[in-house]
Amino acid sequence: MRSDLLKALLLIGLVLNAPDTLAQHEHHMMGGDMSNSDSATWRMPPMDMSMPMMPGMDSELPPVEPFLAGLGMDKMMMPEAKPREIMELADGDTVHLQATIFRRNLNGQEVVMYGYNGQYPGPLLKAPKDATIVVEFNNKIEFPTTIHWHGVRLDNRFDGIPRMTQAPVEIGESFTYEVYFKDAGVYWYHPHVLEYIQQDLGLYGNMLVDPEEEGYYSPVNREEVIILDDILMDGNGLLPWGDHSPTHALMGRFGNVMLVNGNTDYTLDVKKGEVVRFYITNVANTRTFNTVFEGAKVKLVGSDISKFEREDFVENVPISVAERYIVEVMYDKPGTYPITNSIQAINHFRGEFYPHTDTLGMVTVSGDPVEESYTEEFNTLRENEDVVADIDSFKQYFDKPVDISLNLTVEVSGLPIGIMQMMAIDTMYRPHMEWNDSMPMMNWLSTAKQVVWELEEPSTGKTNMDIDWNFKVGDVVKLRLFNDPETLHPMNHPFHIHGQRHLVLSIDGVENPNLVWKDTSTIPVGSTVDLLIEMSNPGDWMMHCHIGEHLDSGMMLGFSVGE
Amino acid sequence: MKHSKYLTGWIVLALTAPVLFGFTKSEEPSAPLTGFECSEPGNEYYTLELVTTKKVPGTGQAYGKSVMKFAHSPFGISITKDGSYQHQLEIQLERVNKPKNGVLVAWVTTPTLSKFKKIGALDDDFHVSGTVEWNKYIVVITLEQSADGSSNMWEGPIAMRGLSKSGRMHTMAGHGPFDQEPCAKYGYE
Repeated sequence: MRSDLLKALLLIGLVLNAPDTLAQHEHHMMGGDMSNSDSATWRMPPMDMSMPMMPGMDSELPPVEPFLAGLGMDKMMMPEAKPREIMELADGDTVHLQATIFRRNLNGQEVVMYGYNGQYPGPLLKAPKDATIVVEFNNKIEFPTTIHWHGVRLDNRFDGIPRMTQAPVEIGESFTYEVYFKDAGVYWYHPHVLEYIQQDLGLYGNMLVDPEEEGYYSPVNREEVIILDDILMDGNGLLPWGDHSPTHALMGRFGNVMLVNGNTDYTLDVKKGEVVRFYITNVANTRTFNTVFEGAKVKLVGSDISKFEREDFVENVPISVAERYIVEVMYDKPGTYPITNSIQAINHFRGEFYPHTDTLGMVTVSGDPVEESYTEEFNTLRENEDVVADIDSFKQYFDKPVDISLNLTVEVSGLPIGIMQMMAIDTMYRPHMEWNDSMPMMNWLSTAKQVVWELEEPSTGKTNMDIDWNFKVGDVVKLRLFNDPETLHPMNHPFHIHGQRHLVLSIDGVENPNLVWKDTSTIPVGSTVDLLIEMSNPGDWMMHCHIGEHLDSGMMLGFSVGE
Repeated sequence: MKHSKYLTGWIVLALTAPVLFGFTKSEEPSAPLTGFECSEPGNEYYTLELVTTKKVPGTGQAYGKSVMKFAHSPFGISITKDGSYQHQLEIQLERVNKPKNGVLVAWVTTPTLSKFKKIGALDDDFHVSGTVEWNKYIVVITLEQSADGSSNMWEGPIAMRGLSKSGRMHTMAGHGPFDQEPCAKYGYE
């Protein structure tokens, strides 16, 4: 009874409040689609209309210049984007990739975006394990750029790190990469320059590395390679990005339009009893998805760089930025089922969690039975002896002392006083993860000029690129990461290590009983996570948070692995 | 109305507990407070403190903590299909005298008391562990006649209770930068 009354009052309050709130936000929404003009103007991100705007904030703008792609260019002269193509490659093949600017219809609006070879996402490169392909890359976008081959343990010279492994590829220039696929699985490629803009605009693609062995995976009826993403839009198109310094430096730039393989309307038609192997990659700037395959049974098979030691049935697949998961999904009842992102979002103004669901795609299961049934194989959980044997050789290091440590923290200064005050109140509770942009305006106004995300080495006090770590090939290093909850605004960090592979040994002292080789691992707020890194690949590499805005707010370090 | 009934029930049980469970006098704690150790620093932030109600003999000086860690998950973070966190709770009490009759049982409930889950009876070391799948919750320690009851709701008096850290989240209406925002506008009394 009381609960119903509360809900009714809330509803009345929201309705009564809506016009006021709209008026508060209205002045930010001036201007049309500027992507065809000579300059961009700031437009405030779409707000949750149930939240009032913070007093005194309505005239604030991020202290950086706004950027939109294709300014001053004739949009109609740009090529129209095409869907992804699949490139079947063999050892020694050469691929031509070009970073291009194009126009496309997205969520009902004509927008200017980037892509590889004019495609969204970039071409799916399929190659066998142990193959090396040559990639002739050419840059036709408005920035210098590079390509990073995420998770691929390739030669350091081709890792795509500007000013570390190569000079940025200037506008109109080219670079030749040699990509060696040491491990089977699903990987992705993206720029390592201003990722928060270039990647968000569409510069990403998958690589699918086929295993050598028959029966490496269980038999399935089909394979689907899907890329999860989101992008921030309003009624006038894409929201501007900070030019050379990110906005949304606190929480990263959440999108409000969900994309699967660059589309808002992903669909899949299957037959009754069909087993589908999904290779899932999260390329969003900051959003962690909690992926749910409604109406289906889901088996977890693998992640970034290997299969799990043991397969397991799961109900949902939480996937952080830059991670990959391989799952097999069986649909055994006719019907239409959504694939969703199902979260408990936070409304900081109300101080509440609330359920929120985004529909990512729809799967239609026909009544026709699948020609070849793999139900028995699907229902069998395999122990992957190859993975177990591989990892067993590292068990001698599991109990070794911690070799190196990092505290994950943030320094904030110079934000408007109202925001600082609100953050101090708001962060009386720090959630483990940020699943939604619960404070869109504060987040938007924060830039890398005011927010410095830090990897701090506790033993020396050094931070980020001042940290100087040197290892040798063959070293097995235990890294302890502590995500300090006692900062002004802590946040989860998807932590990526280049060129090497690692195991997540434990979280908060609890041992991980089912290991898998990773290149990116989630570090929740308040948690202590122990990683065991196999230093097997010589060269100069990076470790960093993969939230685009955190990376460009300093959260990275370099390390070297000597021969 | 429903909550008032529960409240009345707790008060009655708290007052009648000495008779029901055979206590006559709260004894002095038998062991000194040794403190609680969280195995890793990150847990300290989410650890919730259990505070005595002083209503159950033997627990008047009691002190407790519930250490919260992620339940194991192949994804590192452990969440349910609807996005709620799955936590492993390690509940430990100190400065408690073992009840002469009955047993201390740990429960979790939502802040609106709309859902209840039994964690289990505390062992001889006043420890119990279990899982919770709600984002905001209250840990409640009660004195029950038996640990084997099938009820999904406690029947005995509340000895201790503690709110999850997420309970610190509260509306900003009427606070800080929003101190001019009328609470009633957002459905608050």
